[in-house]
Amino acid sequence: MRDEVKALRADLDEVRAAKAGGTASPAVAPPTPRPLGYEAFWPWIMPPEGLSVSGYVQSQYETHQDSQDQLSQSGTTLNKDRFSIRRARVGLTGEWQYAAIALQLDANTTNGPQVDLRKAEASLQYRPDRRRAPILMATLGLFDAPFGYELDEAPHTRFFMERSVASQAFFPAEPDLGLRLSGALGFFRWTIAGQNGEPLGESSPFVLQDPNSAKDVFFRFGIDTHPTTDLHLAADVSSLRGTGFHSGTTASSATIQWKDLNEDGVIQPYELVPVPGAAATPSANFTRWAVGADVRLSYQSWLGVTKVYGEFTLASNLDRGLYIADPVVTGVDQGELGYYVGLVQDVTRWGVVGLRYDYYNPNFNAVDTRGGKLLPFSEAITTWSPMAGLVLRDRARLLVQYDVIHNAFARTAVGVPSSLADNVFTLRLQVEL
Amino acid sequence: MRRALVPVGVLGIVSVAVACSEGQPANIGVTEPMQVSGGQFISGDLPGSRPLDGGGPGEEAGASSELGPLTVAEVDFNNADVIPGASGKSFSGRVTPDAVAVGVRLADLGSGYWVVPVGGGDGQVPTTTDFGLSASFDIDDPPGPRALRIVAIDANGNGGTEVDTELCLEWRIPDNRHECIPSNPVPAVVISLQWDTNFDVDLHVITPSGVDVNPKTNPLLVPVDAGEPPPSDPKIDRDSLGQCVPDGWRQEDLVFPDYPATGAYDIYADPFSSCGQSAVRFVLTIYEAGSDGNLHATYSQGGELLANDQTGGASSGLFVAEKQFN
Repeated sequence: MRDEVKALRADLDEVRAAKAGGTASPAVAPPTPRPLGYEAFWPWIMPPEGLSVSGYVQSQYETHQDSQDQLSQSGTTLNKDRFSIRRARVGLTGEWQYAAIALQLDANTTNGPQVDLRKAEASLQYRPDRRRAPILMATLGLFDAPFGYELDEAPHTRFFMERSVASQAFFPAEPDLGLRLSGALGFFRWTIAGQNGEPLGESSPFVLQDPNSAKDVFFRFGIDTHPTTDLHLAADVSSLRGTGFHSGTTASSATIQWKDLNEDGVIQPYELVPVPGAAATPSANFTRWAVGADVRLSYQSWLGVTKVYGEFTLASNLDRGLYIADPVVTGVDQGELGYYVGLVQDVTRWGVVGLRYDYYNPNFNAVDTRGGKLLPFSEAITTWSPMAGLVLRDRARLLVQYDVIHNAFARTAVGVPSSLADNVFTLRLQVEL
Repeated sequence: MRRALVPVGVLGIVSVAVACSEGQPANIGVTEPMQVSGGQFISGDLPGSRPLDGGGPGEEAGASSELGPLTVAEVDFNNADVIPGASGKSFSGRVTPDAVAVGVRLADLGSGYWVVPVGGGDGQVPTTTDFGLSASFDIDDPPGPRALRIVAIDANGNGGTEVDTELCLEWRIPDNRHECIPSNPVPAVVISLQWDTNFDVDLHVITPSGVDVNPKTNPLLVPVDAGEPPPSDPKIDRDSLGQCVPDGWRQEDLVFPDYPATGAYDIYADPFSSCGQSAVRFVLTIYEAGSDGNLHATYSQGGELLANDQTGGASSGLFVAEKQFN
């Protein structure tokens, strides 16, 4: 409300100045008023006219119950108790009548110091009402995959530290290369996109490349409306159909293998096994798909804004980050289900609390071998994430979050799959330009 | 502002409350004397009752074909000798069908045991089910005879009678298995070089006659024309980190089965290749047979080598000590 009044006053001042024969318009356009529930949510952001620069730093300390002062088999550290720069991003946004550009660079120390390109969007648009999102926008470049709410929510507006487990498994990082068509007409929102299907962060040698000619196609339709001045409601359905890639193998030459059958550490003639050379095997494609729906509701009360939101995704062979799906190897499609519900409550202008529950089942067909029987069991990972923090609006946030995680990574004293303790505490300070 | 501190306090209380949440801890088992691939480490003693006298598999039921509840009927393995730092040593066996898992540990070593689910029914002995596990051992496990203790566990966590299978944990210093078989004589002298990173360090010993014994070019003190050298001939046991391939040992030993010829022996540590390491710390130890029939360390000297010191075999490396044998 304050923002709206401020913007109206600015408009009035501008009109008065024009009548008085002053300059036709100020050098810098006033900020567009942001309605309740508005977030920097691509492609529906409403940047200032002309060029603008943005940026923020998220620095944090985190401690994990499963942290170990050891190295993994591949030599990476298993210690997760540390300080880190989670995100340090600078962005340049250009907004003109029929064109727009977005560039964003990210630096972080999550896996050692690294710098990535996170957005490189070149867009043509038709946006006759400069206070509203474009009616039609065509974007070519590097942009966040338009699937669900969480994936396109800007990390600096999200109060919870990271996306839900399912979202991170399906999309290890948000951006991929492709073409996006989108539009907003009244409360209706639509997005159709095609991407390479090899997003940033994927455990693959083909990140931001594409080993097959098929593209991942996204459809996303929804609404974004204000039934009353103090209520915001948005909901979308999303779908994805794409093509995954199973790498073939190169030819190998014949070798000799030693198997220490009698375990005496000495080579015996019968322990030498010839391994014939193997021919190369061709690569293969496989189909993956996902459908999802999300809804979020924001309500303005005397205490502040209450935001309730949730999302679910049903998918097949889409996991690219956690239980990586490859039905060419297993011969079985990997069915996946993820969902979350979250609540974020402002506590006056200075505080915030929140709670999120998320669930991810990476494989409906998971079985465990016990007593010679293949018993179905759940590999589901559930997380409760209470969060609280202090807020200087649009400038800084000091947040703490404790993730209580239940998984199936360990076994009980009778050999039944059980949870490995890997709860996470995170303290994060975020400051924006 | 003060009110805004309330949520932080609430979260702190919640965090403390959930800190004691369920779940198996992750950071245990890695320092145990034995690790089992795919097994779950549980702190504490094995469930079940202590082994009977004799302790072997199926002892509880004697020679009878009738097996009692939660019985380990059989334990199979390829070799009772455990090479120091052995990896992937296989054990298998049979338990009665009321068992859902087996617990396994080295008797009187370590702080807990490993749990492995049992497998399928045994085709030849339908009244039992199979189990199998792959174990790795710490290279610094105390040498000597040691029992591998196994117990069958039911779905309620109850254990049967534990059974012991005798193993021999060999010493990382080559002692002719004297630790397990005291009647085997120890070598007269062992010159042992150990180091701490995956750096290809070579032991060089220059004999009084001027022969440079080293693992790369001349591991034998007494050259042989053909065939195997006699067991009594001194030789270096391995080229550890040869071609920079990690082997877990980081140790080379020159073993003298009989007392060395009289004279001064010059001992060097040769930084042959850094293998990407910046530095390595080594310890040279000389063991000699004592009057009690055991090996005893009689000399020890440590040192450090840098990547810049690597020789590529062009020299014998850093002089460490001169040992006079009389």
